[in-house]
Amino acid sequence: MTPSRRAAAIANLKAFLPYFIAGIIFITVSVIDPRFMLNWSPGLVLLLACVWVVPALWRRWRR
Amino acid sequence: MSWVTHDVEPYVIKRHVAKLEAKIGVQISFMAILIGSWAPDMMSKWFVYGITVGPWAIKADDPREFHRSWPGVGFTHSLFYGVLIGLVVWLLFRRGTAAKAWGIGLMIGIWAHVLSDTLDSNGVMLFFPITTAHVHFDAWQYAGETGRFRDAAAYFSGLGFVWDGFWIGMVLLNYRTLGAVYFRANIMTDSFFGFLGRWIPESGLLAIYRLAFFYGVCRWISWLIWAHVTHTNAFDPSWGGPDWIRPVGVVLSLMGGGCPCGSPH
Repeated sequence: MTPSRRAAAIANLKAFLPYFIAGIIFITVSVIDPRFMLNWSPGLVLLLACVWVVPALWRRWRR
Repeated sequence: MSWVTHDVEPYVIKRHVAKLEAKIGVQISFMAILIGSWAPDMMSKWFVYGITVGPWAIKADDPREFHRSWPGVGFTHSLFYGVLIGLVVWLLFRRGTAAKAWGIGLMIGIWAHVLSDTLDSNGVMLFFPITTAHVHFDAWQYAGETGRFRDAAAYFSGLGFVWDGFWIGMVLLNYRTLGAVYFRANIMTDSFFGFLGRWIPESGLLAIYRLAFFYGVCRWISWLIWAHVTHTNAFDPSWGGPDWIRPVGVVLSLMGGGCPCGSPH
């Protein structure tokens, strides 16, 4: 694997990580209480929190 | 009904209407296809499954007929309804630049929903108002009248979960549709994302775009685990299955607590 390809793969993996974490939380909560997945709005809040809000706050805090 | 298909098929449809878009000179709205794909069930599903408000249990007398027949709201599951909603949106907002994109998108989304629903045992009034006859291919049992959780258990035990899996696979085969490059070129131009873009950065907009796929995949996995790992519903991926679902007409009351899946365990 060339260095540029490896860098792209790592970038893709990093971009995928928040979705993966959100997915694990969503599935765990949903299996415990399936009412969680009857409406898309909790999923939206969870996804936006994991993919956008928390990473943005993390970046700001590190600065 | 299709539990996850309606969430994920708009991604594949949007990817494959490029030729139509080039022909009519309009970039069809992805959000319109998605909302159209949800639209037929949006206002009626709660009444099919029933809800409790204080001491009152509110539910259709005959959920199966109410959902898909006439009289009832079965007209929402017809090709005519797609044309009607598309035309209304187009005419109401015809002065706006997005009217055509949304009108056509809603129609395509509703048609996708309606055609998917022909696969269950209840079917849809596809050619309403010309005829109220149901078109149904009986691939899996319609069990809406048994309540939301029992319906989920039946759907994710029969061929329904395979159908959903097929559409998830189709999106994964077209994985570029979930990428940032595709999003910038084909989705962000949509007036909906243009509007949200005033407050939300691209990473947030991309998450909103991917939401339906994320929601669909997570629900598919969750329902399968719930139905077959935490509960003991037997898989029956035969045509017309699962056999264990109670015959239509036997309405289970799930309002009284206990296990929400309605299974006798």
